[in-house]
Amino acid sequence: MKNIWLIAWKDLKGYFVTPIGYLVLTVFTVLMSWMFFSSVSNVLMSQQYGRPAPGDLSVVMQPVLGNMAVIFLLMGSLLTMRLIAEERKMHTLELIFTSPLRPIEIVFGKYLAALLFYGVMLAITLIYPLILKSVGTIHLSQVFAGYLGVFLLGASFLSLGLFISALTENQITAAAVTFGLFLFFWIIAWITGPSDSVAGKLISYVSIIDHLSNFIRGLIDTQDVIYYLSFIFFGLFLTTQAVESQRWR
Amino acid sequence: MIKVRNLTKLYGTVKAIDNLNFDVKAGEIVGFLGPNGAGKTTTMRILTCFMPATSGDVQVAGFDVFENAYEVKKQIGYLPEVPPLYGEMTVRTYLTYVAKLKQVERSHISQAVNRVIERCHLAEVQNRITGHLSKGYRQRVGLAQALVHDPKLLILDEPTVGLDPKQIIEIRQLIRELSGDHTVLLSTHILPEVAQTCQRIIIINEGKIVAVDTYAELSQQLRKTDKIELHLQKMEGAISKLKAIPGVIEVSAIPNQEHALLVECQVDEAIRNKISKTVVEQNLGLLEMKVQTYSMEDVFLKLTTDEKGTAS
Repeated sequence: MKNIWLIAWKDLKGYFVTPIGYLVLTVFTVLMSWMFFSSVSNVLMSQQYGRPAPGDLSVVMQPVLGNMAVIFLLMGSLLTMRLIAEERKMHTLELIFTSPLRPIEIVFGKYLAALLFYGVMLAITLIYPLILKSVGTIHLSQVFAGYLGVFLLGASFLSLGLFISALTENQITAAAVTFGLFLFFWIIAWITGPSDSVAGKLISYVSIIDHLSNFIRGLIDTQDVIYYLSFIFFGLFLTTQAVESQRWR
Repeated sequence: MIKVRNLTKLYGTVKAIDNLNFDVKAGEIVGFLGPNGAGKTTTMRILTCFMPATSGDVQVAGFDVFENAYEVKKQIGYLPEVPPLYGEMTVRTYLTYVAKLKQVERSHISQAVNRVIERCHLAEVQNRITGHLSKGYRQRVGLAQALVHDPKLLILDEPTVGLDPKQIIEIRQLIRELSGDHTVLLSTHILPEVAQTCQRIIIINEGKIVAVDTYAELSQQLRKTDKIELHLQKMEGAISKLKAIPGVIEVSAIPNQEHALLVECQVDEAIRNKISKTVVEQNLGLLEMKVQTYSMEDVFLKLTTDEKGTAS
């Protein structure tokens, strides 16, 4: 655990030695705030047209959470592109792999760094439900479910991104491939055929976005949780295999 | 300290190293000498558990590198070909981070870092960013990094590459100081380096060990024949007359030099005496006669070209 933390802390600090950490935080916060205000104004607008005020303000958060996932889809690859690719390029992989650490500790440490950074990104946006709470009633448990979904979705992306970063020494390649794969997992359900066919069910199950909708509506379904957790596990497993196998070649 | 048996490594179908066998005793400084691409780095990467071997056994400090990599890694300080620096860290934070990676006890870390900063003469750059350092300093930080946990075994891959002559002398001095309490295996393709720093030399070429011995022994062994350079006024009949002397193995004209001959004969002063007598008796006009000595470069060239693959 000490070793995982050692790697994680170094990489977490690493986000802030280049502008990338500040950039991602700033852009994400600005975009999310814009989306929050537009969601608030939409609700206010509909009230002007005579619709009743929502009894539960968590409906304001629903589109915000959905958009949060989209924004992270666009930015997530920036968090993982550097993690292993850069170590390979700078030859520091030789240092960490000849230190008394297990490969899995290295992979977990790097993943933890990305996850913590992502956690900070999400934590900043918690201010929106708090604002809503100060002006009306809001079921925070529903909002919490939404956040859990967005967090798990992002965590899945990060595990995939880490795997890609382990395959190359070029950050840009890592970012581009990761982004392409994110997008693919997102749009995979667009070709869904009749939803009762086996293929249709399968595609819908694989699609990373279909599992998010329940969370955003405030429902935590174990099937969705298991999907994301197995996605993460698989991503980390592949990453470990990739860093190990490079030494075998 | 190091025990290597039948070590082979294949990259695809290319044999990078082929059936290596050697030992390094505790406290020794051993030089790993070979041209570029001989398999030095590959061997070192296997010893440091960075890379597994295709076949063969390697033991470091009694632990198998494959089965007990964790223990082996604790014993080793490794300076790779390119110093593994994080360009954004200062020298001190970097060395502290490495100390933590190498599982140095928390209470000893700052002491250990101070020790290597002093030992590698890094005091004046300790708060500079490693990415901004000159090649010489980067190399020294790399060496400090390998020493920070006071390992029993140091593996240094071309430690003096890219340094200026003064720095090279300093680094060699430092390496010599390490002998005794540390075992050092260093690789190089520069010959004077091994002659100056190492007690024993392992010469490797195309993945095979060509020779393992001390410098003195190696140059001795090579002198199975004497080579004598002759400069004569008259060349007519000289070759046949010289060849007729018992003990003379080969006589040939030295290319690009007029009136010069190279006589290869058995190591025996009587034969040399006979050669000079013959030259004088035949009235060939002796201008110069000298015995060629072997420099380290010749040892190396001879071992890696003429006697390729025949371990002696």
